[in-house]
Amino acid sequence: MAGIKACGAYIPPRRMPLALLSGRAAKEGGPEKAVAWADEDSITMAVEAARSCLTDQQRDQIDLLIFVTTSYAYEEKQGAAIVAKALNLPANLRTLDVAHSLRSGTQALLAAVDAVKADSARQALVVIADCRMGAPGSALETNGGDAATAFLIAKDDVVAEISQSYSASNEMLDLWRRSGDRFVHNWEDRFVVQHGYLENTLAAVNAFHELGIEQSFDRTILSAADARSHKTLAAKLKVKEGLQSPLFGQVGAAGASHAPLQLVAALEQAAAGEKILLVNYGDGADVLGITVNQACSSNHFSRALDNRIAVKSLKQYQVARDLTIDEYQGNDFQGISATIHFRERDENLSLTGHVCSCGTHHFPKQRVCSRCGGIDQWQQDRCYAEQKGSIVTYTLDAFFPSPEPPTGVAIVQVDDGPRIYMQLTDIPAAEIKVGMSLEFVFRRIHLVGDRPNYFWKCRPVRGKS
Amino acid sequence: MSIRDKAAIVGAGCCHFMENWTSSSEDMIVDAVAEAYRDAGIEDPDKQIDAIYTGSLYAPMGPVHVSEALKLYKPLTSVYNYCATGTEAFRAGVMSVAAGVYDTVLVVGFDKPKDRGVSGPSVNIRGVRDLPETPAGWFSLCAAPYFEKYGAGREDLAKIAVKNHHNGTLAPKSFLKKEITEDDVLNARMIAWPFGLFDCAAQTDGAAAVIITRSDLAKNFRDDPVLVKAVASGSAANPHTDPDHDFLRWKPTENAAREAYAMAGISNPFDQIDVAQLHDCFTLTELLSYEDLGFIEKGAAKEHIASGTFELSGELPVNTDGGLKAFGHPTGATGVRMIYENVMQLQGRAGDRQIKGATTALTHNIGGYPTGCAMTILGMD
Repeated sequence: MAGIKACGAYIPPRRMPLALLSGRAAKEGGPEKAVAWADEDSITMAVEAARSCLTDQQRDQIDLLIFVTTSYAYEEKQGAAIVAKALNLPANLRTLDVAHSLRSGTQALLAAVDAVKADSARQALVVIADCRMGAPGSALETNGGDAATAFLIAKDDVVAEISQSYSASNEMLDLWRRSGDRFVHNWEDRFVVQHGYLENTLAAVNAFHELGIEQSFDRTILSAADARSHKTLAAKLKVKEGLQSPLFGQVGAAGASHAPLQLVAALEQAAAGEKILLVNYGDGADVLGITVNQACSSNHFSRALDNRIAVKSLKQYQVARDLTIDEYQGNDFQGISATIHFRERDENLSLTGHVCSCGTHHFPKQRVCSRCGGIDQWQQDRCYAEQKGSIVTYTLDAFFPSPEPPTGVAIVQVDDGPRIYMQLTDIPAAEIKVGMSLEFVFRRIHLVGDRPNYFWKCRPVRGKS
Repeated sequence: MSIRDKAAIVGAGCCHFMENWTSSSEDMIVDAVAEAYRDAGIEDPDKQIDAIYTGSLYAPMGPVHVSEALKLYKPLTSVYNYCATGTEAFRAGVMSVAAGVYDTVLVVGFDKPKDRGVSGPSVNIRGVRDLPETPAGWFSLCAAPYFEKYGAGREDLAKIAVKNHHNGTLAPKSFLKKEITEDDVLNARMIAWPFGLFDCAAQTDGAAAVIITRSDLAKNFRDDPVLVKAVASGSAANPHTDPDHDFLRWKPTENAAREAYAMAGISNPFDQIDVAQLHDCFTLTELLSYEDLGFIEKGAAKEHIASGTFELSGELPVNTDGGLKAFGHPTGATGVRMIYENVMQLQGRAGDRQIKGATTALTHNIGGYPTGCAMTILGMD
């Protein structure tokens, strides 16, 4: 019989007072939620939960690692492989990501138990971590929280067994996060609670009871989006005693880890022989009947819960969660330097150079003349934009990134003027020739910094007007 | 004052130039320097090396990669001159020994461009003018005027690529060991006219090192030290704004060659140089260098390429190890790698690519727009 041999939990120590989120002052002991800080994400939390789970456990028996999350940095690239490497697990390991649903955690637990039962893995490690982002001001921002859990599934010496389970799938658009979205979205909450959460969980619990094995439970674990839905479901299930704390006001609804985190708490609190009912909602419902074989010796949950650092201000939270408004990634990504552009605006916008007292033209302007070596012997600025020129030499550069490669580029000898390195435009590549007559045309040279940057190009002299 | 014969190379090392995904700059530096130590019989670097000169274009920690890789904490200098960086590090080291400041110095050139996730050079758009900013674009600018004046074309350039690929197959530490045909070169995708992919050097990771000492101390290290006959550097105006450029030559090479030949006492380079490593960042760069270095008359490259003058069996073999094209071009390492190859040639250790009886050997780097050149001439007598 396969079951849970060890469990672990990680709750990020930063606790955001809910009062701060609604613009009020935080009060000592008031409701709060756990928030992954600027240097944390679902992967780092998963690793920490797994490390707590594997305290005093051998790692060389683990043949299967399942990483469970709905909030992960990559659309393509496995998270389980990163977790496995951080845990220094052997490479000959089956790794698997289970994602996209709040029910993924219990789904993965059931799959891991099946794998161990079927002898396709000696032991399996299921790591469930979520840090979902609720849009600022949304109910999810207030009610959600971040946490991770880990369960080592094995055949022998298990703390608890899943004696019975029932799963049902349900399709509806209640909660979603599209590819590219940062925030989780939801349909109108009364619709979601009634036709999603309550209908599905109640039907699943009824079906579970019809399986007829266990009818009474010492503890009940319910996942829920908020305290009110949790209370409603508990009432409808007629749970009077042994309702496991859903941790609202302490951790918050921790995504795919919400029910699993309560399970870790329950296992670490329960006495041998206790029966636990776990109901998990998300795109359907999972109902698990769990029997505690022996009291769990670890206290990862309470230690994680007690390890608190209070967030002092909304601003701290916004910076750590990258919720400040800035359209540039950072100062290094702002494109062409404004100070350089300021100094070079004559050259860049009016194609202005200057002429030395020796008669030599320069573009861009120079302090020292390239022919006579005179310093600051400039007679006058000259705008070359209205002059014609000709090609001294050229190339077609296919390596330079351009919407229309190759980029024609030439050394242009301006008539009665300097030589300028210029891009060519409005000319087919095959027609470019040394000696060809050109004129200047003002163009948007590129969009670096997501701004239009203007300079001149050269095009063939057009027919006489 | 000339520095001719004042300094000698007593140890040389070079790592395998590759896309070294599994090794760091430090790994490659240790590979190259450990070989140079062994070559010079150096067993206690802390006592036997007085200073370190390095060069790299891409290294985020600059010279600290070298001191930390080797755990050798000596006067530490990094130099920078685009593709001539490796030779400039060597030049700084030679000058310090010739000046009597140090007895024995270590020179390390290295680069690790393949950790950037980019094929080929970086294209950073920092300004609104002077674009496109690509080496192929810059070095191609002599093509149209040169082809027009001297009747050369892409097929002449292709022969240079074929030659260097062949030579690369004979060098154990080269990156590309694949013979190619002129058709391969002519049919490859275009990078910047007239350069197709095979006209361009292969960007790799790599490190190379030499140990330089005072000539009068050289025999303490080994019986066949290689003397530094000349080490020179030249610069010239940016060709993009030079009002007088004819785009038939690269002036930095002409300027460096003048200084190097005067220093080494060379009046007829074609006859007096036995083997040369030239900066073939692009095939045309090698072609122009034959002429800019005075090996042959301006405009004569086409006929010499056709007759095989610069092949391994020719009168003046060029890029005997495959050059930047096939051996690989980790920018800061390249100049030192060329010196390594010439040391091998002069000491008769160049294996299947050995030029018999070579006693005088030249190296040449050119870089920037191009705006700078550095050269060495080494000899055995």
